[in-house]
Amino acid sequence: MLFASYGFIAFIAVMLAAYYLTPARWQWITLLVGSYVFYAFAGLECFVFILFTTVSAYIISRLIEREIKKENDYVAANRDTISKEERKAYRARAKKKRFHILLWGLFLNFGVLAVLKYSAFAVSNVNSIIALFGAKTLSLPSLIVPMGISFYTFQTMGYLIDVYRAKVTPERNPAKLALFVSFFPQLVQGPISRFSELGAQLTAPHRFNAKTVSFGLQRVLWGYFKKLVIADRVVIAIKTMLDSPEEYRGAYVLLLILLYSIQIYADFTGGIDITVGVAEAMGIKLAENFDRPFSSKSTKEYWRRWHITMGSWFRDYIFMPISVTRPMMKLNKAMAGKFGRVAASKTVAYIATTVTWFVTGLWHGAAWNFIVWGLLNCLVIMISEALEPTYKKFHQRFPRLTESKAYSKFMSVRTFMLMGVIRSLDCYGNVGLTFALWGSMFTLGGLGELLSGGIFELGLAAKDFIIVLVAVLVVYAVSVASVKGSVRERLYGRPVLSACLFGALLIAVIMFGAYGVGYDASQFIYGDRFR
Amino acid sequence: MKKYIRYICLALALMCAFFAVACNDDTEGESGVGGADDKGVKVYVKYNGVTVKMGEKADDVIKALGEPQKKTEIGDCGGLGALVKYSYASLEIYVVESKDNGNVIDQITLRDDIVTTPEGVAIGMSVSDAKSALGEPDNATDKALEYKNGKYVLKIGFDGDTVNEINYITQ
Amino acid sequence: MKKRVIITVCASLAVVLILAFLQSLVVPKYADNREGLLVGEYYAEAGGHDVIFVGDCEVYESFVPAVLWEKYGISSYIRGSSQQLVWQSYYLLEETFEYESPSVVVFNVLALKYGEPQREAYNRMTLDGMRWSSSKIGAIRASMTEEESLVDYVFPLLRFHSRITELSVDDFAYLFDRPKVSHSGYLMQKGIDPMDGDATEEGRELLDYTLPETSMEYLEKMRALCAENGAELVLIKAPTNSWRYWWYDEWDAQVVKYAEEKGLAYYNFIDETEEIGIDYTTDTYDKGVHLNVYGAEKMTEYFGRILEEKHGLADVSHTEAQAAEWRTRVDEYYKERNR
Repeated sequence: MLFASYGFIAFIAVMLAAYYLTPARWQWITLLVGSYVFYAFAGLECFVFILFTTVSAYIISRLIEREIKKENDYVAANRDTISKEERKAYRARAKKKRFHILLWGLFLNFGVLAVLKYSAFAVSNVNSIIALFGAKTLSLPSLIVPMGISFYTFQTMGYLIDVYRAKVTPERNPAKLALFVSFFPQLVQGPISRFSELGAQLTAPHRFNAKTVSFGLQRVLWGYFKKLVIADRVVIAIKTMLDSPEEYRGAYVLLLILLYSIQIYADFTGGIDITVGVAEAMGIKLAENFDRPFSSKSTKEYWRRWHITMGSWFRDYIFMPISVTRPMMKLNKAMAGKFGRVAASKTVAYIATTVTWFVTGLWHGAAWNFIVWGLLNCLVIMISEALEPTYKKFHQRFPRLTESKAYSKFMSVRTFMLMGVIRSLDCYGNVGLTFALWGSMFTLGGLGELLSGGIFELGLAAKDFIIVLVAVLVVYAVSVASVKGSVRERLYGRPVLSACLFGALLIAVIMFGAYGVGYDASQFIYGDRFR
Repeated sequence: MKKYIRYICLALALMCAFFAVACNDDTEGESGVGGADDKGVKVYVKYNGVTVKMGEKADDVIKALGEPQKKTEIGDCGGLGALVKYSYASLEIYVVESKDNGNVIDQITLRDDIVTTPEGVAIGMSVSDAKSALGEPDNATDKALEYKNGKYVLKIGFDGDTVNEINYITQ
Repeated sequence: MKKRVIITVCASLAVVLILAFLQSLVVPKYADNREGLLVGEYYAEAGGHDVIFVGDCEVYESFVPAVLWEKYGISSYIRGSSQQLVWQSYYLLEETFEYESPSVVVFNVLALKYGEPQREAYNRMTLDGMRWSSSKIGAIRASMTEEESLVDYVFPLLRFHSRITELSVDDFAYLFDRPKVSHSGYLMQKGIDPMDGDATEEGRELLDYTLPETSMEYLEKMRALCAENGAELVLIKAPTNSWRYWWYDEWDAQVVKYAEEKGLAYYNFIDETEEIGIDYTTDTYDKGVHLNVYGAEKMTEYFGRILEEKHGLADVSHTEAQAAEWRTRVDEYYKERNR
């Protein structure tokens, strides 16, 4: 079920009514049933996979819990009879056992994800190698990719790792765990929640509160504004250019980068607004996924502000563990002796960063362009890290310049452009083509054509660009206003103004949204990619 | 290490049970609804060096083919789009003009044996030769053989044992 | 709290009113494509008709109710619209029987060729004019193309919102009232564009000459509906036969067979143009695809005789009020015709 569909809006209305009409202690069951109904719309065959993840996570987490209990009981019972070293050795053995149980869960679930999502990619790569030797190529497997599999798998595996690390107490009720895995608003495109933050909220009773519900719905409306008025309108021009990328070179590539940045921001943050808003209307607070990312002054900062839950997942569950693996520790030690501690720890960090970004790229899609996209991000981050001392010197040398507002804006624009250029890899979908088109930007070919009316031949007329421009300015204004605190909270104290603004927003969405017959019902980009 | 390999093997074996469920039956989706694909019969002909393909935008094709012998056009009652027939010596091309989708080639009719299908089938040929060139038809009646590709059909009409009509038709 | 509730209610009402106004503004006014207004005009004249025509352009361009009244005293109305599909005709007829009990229903068979909804724009032209009823819902459900949804019909604003940036003077001029375009469902065309060499063209090759099952099912439903309501269903094929809207012999044979089996009258006027008196150099406004007003008058006179002689409409009586109404309609008709 698409967010931008009448069906979804009707579903939300029914769910909200059902949720608040259900006695408080059973509300979570309504949510679970609703989530499964929502999932059923994606196809009943997909159920097998989400049930598999749920059941396997439940069993594994309970097994780990049993091991932890056994370990703690043993240590408590023998506190006085065993030595500290013996206790340490026992704990290490127990941890190893827990780790093996955890590995089962990770292998099974990431294995399912890998085969469903990446087998075609793997086979096509094998085929390219086979073709070099002139042998007969393998046929590409055609497998379904269940809706939200990347999101729920990562979220659930995060839960398992947290259970293993004894950061959370495992859920004893399998139905409650099932709700954590399948909570419907975030199934389509995240955010990737942590059990420690979401678990208890999902099952806690929530009484109807007009303010909470209206705040939630206001956020949903705001999400639809971004998605329908901006993203789905801009996507028309983007599609035109992507249909024949060879025709749209030079200045058109720059235009595409700009439009795609606007589109993906409006689409993704809009989708997350809808997700977070729906949950909020039910009294559930989901993790925020964005924090004004386009105001970032560096790539590193950008990735702390864009798709936050994904970034923190990779940091906590990939980067950190890799950094402390035995080979890494050995490398660190060996290098520290020869090149010094700083160089050793930097090398380890760079290796871990590279692996993390490789996996991040792969997570975004089963194709080389995503992998290159991930590695390029990694490269930029590593270069900036390496050059940090130089930057520092520069900042110290020209304090008036570097502390000025203009310089700060320059840094934001630079980061925006850099990220935009790298991001264009995922829309062209072909590494070689993307590089060639980046090259064409420097020739500035097509600029004359673009400015002499070519811009209006991409499927969007001047009035469409005006609508987009006005809407982007509104989004920008709200983004700036939100720095000082919640805009909704401030409006709450001024009910007439609030009613007028949200009334106007609703009318704007209905009148200027690019939806319905005649518009391409484009999917949320992340939802499309992370089914 | 051995242990990990064992885990991976076991995990993969277990997962195999799932992949039967995951087999996608929708592989025909693209060709079924949309245009032609590489699997079905070829739905184009070459005429005077120009490729005329079903479902393609017509403007450039007509321009490349040059002035037709005759052009007949009939609008529709609601003023939403005309059907235009371009008659060339060996070929008739029907183009549906639409405000939404542009001008699209909707039907190709071969008029003589100067033009053949990409498989070499021409008017006047024997039905058995046509069959050996095109393979088994998707549908056969006592008057025609039909070869499908998505929403397009190559219809080979015959009288007795001789092919007398070749049409590419949009279903 | 109370204040907040009052503000919310007032704001909601204001939003609804603004949206209602915007809806009136953006829905198509069909100032150019007058066909889009035909279906909605019925309700002003609903009731008391002896004959109801249903079908596509071949009914609303071939028969003139004013002439049928003037020459034969037969009261009639045409419930037709552009490319009106068989199931749309069925539901329009179902709705018509809620308003009146005609003794004859005339259906033009050309639409039987379509077994699936064709285009959203045509659907809109037929369905938007209907008043809300179970028939309208049935017609929408049967007609929707894949891209459409019932919600868009309930709230046309959701379908036509994008027109907000394409408004013309007509959208303001006809904000609340539409101009009247038909004479009892007949859409007058006074132009003359003679049939040329294309007259010799025949219809293009088809894949399958069987009339679609769905159309035949609805034809049968229409027959049953007429029988239930005591009306005689008469099938006709208008005399026009352009290569785009070609009536194939194979189709004709199927309709002949069906009519025979069900005991219905079927008149194919394609081969009777001479008897009717149609001259395609003067009686068509678009090279023979449709009749113009002069052709339609001839067709109406010819068909009126058939209705009188073969379908029991020789001596139908009407109230003085009805007669007065028809006199006005006939005057209006000639006023426009001779303008």
